[in-house]
Amino acid sequence: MISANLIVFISLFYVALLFGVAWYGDRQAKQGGGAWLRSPITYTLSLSVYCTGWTFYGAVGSAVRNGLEFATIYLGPTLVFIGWWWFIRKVVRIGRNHRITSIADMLSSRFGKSNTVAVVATIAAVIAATPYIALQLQSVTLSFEAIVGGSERLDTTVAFWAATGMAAFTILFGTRSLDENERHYGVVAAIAAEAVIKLIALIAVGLFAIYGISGGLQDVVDNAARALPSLQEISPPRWVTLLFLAGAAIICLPRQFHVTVVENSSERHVATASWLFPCYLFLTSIFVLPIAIAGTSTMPAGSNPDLFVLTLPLSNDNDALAIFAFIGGFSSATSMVIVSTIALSTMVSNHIVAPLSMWFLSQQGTGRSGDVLRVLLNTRRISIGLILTLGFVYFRFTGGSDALASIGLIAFCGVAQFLPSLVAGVTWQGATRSGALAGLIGGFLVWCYTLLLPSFEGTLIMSADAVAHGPFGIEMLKPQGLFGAQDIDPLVHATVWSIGLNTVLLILVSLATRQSILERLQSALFVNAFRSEPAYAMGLVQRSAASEDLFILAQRILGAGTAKTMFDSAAREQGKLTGLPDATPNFISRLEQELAGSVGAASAHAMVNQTSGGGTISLDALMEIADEAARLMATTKALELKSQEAERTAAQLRAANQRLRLLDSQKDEFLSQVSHELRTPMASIRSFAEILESTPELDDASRGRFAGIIQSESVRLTRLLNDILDLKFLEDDAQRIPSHAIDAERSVDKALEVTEGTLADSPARIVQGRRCGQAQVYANSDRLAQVFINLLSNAIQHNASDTPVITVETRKDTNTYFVEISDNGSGVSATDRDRIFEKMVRGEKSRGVGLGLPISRQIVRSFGGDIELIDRDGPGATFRVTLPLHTPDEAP
Amino acid sequence: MTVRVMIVEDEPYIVESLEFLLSRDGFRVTSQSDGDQAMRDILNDPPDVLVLDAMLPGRSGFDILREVRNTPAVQSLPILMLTAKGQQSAAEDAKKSGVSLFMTKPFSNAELVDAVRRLAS
Amino acid sequence: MNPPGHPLKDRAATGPVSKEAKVPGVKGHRDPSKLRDAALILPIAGILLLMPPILSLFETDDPDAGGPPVAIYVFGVWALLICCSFWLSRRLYRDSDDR
Repeated sequence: MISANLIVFISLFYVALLFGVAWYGDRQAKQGGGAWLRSPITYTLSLSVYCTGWTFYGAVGSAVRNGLEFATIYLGPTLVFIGWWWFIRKVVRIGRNHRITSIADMLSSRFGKSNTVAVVATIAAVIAATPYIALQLQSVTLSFEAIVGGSERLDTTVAFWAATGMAAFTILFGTRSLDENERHYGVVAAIAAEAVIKLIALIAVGLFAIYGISGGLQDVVDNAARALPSLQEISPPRWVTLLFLAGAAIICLPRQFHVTVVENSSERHVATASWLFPCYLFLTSIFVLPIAIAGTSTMPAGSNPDLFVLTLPLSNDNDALAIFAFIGGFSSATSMVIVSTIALSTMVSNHIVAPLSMWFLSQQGTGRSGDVLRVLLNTRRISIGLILTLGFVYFRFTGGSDALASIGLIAFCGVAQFLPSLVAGVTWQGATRSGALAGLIGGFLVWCYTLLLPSFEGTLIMSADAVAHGPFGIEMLKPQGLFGAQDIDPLVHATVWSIGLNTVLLILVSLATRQSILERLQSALFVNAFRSEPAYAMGLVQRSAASEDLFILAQRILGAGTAKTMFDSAAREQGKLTGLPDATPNFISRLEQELAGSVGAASAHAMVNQTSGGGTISLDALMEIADEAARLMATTKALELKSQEAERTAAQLRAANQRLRLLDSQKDEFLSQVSHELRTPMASIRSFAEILESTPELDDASRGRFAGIIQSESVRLTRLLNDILDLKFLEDDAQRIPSHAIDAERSVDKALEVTEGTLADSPARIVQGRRCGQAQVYANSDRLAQVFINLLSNAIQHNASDTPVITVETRKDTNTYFVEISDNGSGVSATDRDRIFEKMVRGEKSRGVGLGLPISRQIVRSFGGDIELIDRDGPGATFRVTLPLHTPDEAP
Repeated sequence: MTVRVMIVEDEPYIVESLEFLLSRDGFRVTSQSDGDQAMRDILNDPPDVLVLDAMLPGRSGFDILREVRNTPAVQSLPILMLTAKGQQSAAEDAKKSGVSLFMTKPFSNAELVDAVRRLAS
Repeated sequence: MNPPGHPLKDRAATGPVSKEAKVPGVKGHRDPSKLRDAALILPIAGILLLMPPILSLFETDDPDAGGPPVAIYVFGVWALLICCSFWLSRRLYRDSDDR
């Protein structure tokens, strides 16, 4: 039996050693030395604050009870760290860019520097961490009792003194100053030292279990399945849930966020930690197994597996190893408590006390040089005491009856509630403050209801009966079986419901709400952390203030020395040799960032705004700078539009060009046609004239006939020339045709009369269909008749049928007069359809004057109507003339 | 042996004047106004000389010209082409397609008869 | 670390490792984008290998099995992941150095 005094003495000695290391580290850092303090190894070792007393003792217990499941607690962080490129790297970058001081600050800063978010996150973190801190007190107490053969009296005394000692250490080294970015070199040095000690202690006990108790490595492996049957199987739902919770915890636990992000001094350290930290976890876990196996094989039934690490050496009379193991466990517990309380007290003072003290100070008038720095440091000290007290009270209440592991998992599930907002915050620009708040609060309440309250086993708020059968006996609301879920592991149940609701609320509320402008700026800076330069975005918030006021503010928060250094360097940058720097928007934002490193983003923002009278962000500037991705997209889109426009223009040009070419070729064709039309009658005329001249012996009949041909071909020539002139005249000034209100039906009658007169010896026949009888239009009756004659003679001439039949129909509606002239010929081929109204173009196979249709169309158009070729069932072509009806009051 | 001349032309007055002129000069003259029909007549009973209008309903004068030149049986048939279109390009096209002689309307009677006479010999 | 400017030696040194790493697309470490892709794929591969469908293949209920296969598998994959991460982070590290 080891005496209690010896243990107390060794513990005190060990604590003194830690104080020494911390003091030395602080001094080295202050003197600018101590490269080892900023080395990746120290960084990685400080991450091992993840392995608490729960790991040191509880992992063996967990392995005995649930087999391989204990490994998930270390596999989750392993997966997150080997995937550092995905997530941790970004969070670390954001943390440095924005001088993030805690996970609550991170969320608050991302969601528009909202103090509400910070307060909610702080409260949640404190509630989730309290059982966890209690767990450490319990592990110290249990181990102390185990090693000295404890009595009931010692129970709370040990826990009390342990808590007091840790509070003293934390206050001494954790609150020496409001450090730039909350870096505590002394504390980190002590934590790193403890990390080494606890790992060596665990390995030592593991090796003792293998070689001192079991018969070597082979024996351990051979015995594994028999000693720990649970090692052979896994429970998939719990396995996946634990993997998820552990992965979330490694970044969401306030103390992990603190060592990973806040204390980080270089992104490269994360690269080293990406394999070295998993390595640490691997070593920790693998030595748990032989201890568990040796424990179950050799220890008497009923001994607490949570304490095998201690009781194995004890029962084998290896006191030195037992004491070393005790120190290892003590290290695990103290390092966790120290970092947790630093992280939590930072959150409490920055997000709860600072806004309150600001309010008090503003009530007393800003002129008073109230020392905010001292207030904050004191509140930090008080919060450390309060948090440890809370943990101690929790430990007293729950009586330490729970298995260690289950308490730790409650905390894991609690802090996992930060995960949806954190992940969405750095990957989804659309996530809004309201969404984050809804998700956080919803998830956190579900966690309280389904996991935290039932863990009190009826001693707090909910009775044991309510836990077992639902409040007021409503089975549907049973905390560990919501909506009738049965036989489901309480942890899996709580995780699914709380994280599920959290995520759903975050997404839905974000989609339904809008971001403030500051939120938009922050979301863009967070999500595009690798692309946007925060320094560039600083000048975006347009504020003005008196430099003197800013200096007073800076002195209060940063202390006189730091503030003076900062203002002097800013003044030099602005080219000023003496005096204060100008309060440019850029400088104000820089100051705000400096302050954020001490009091958190939300408080710093509020403080600076109080001095500078609020700020505005020009939306244009925001759009221009913050969202580089969006800007790129906009540029691309603009380019696309431009090229589309260019393409359209080019297409128009091409079309115009084609049209010009067509017109050109039509002009050629027109000339060629005119030439053809003129030369053909001319050829007859010349030929017959020469015949008449050179053939005096020609008989009279022939002579008469030839002269007749000459005459008729001359008439044809004249008519042709007239047509050409007509067309030219119409095209030049269509409006000049003298017009009157006339009855168009009479023009149709006239045209029919003229045309029928020429049909005497032709088989063609004209059929009159329905006629409307009378139609008042504003036109020239002779010209209109000319159009109808033209259409009729066209229909007859170009009719290949043996018995050409032309049908004429007229009708009118309220505004328009229609004349349709159709024939039973072969119709108009598709290729000709578009061209027949062009000058001088004839159908491919038809003959005759090519100017009739263009002239007719020109005439009708000058009267406000049109001629078109319309589609009709059956053979033949149908031309439709439309003319607007004339009403007398309509001025011509 | 009378020389047979075939006129392919759709303007009736021109056909009339050509028939008058050529028969007066001792040629046996037939005429056809449709391109398709003309091509069939040429293959059935090839004339000694062909007087061909360039623009015809159905097959154009140029089509007939090319087809004649591509048909071994009538390949060497002398062809006088008439056209009312005044462009130079038409004359060149005709020459390329293998026309024997080319005249533009309106033509001189003497020149025309002389041309047919030369083609016949 | 391989000294730069020794391509043959580098290839000889990294060739077998890249095979072991089971990271598709990583042939030479000169292409930083491939390395980054590998860094993104590694945790996904880890998650798949350490989750039930694959994990359950190694469960047994034989009490005399000796070393439980599922435990050996989990720790084996774990060690492998650490090796890959070591190999990758070293090169990504040097990459960012170049920039």
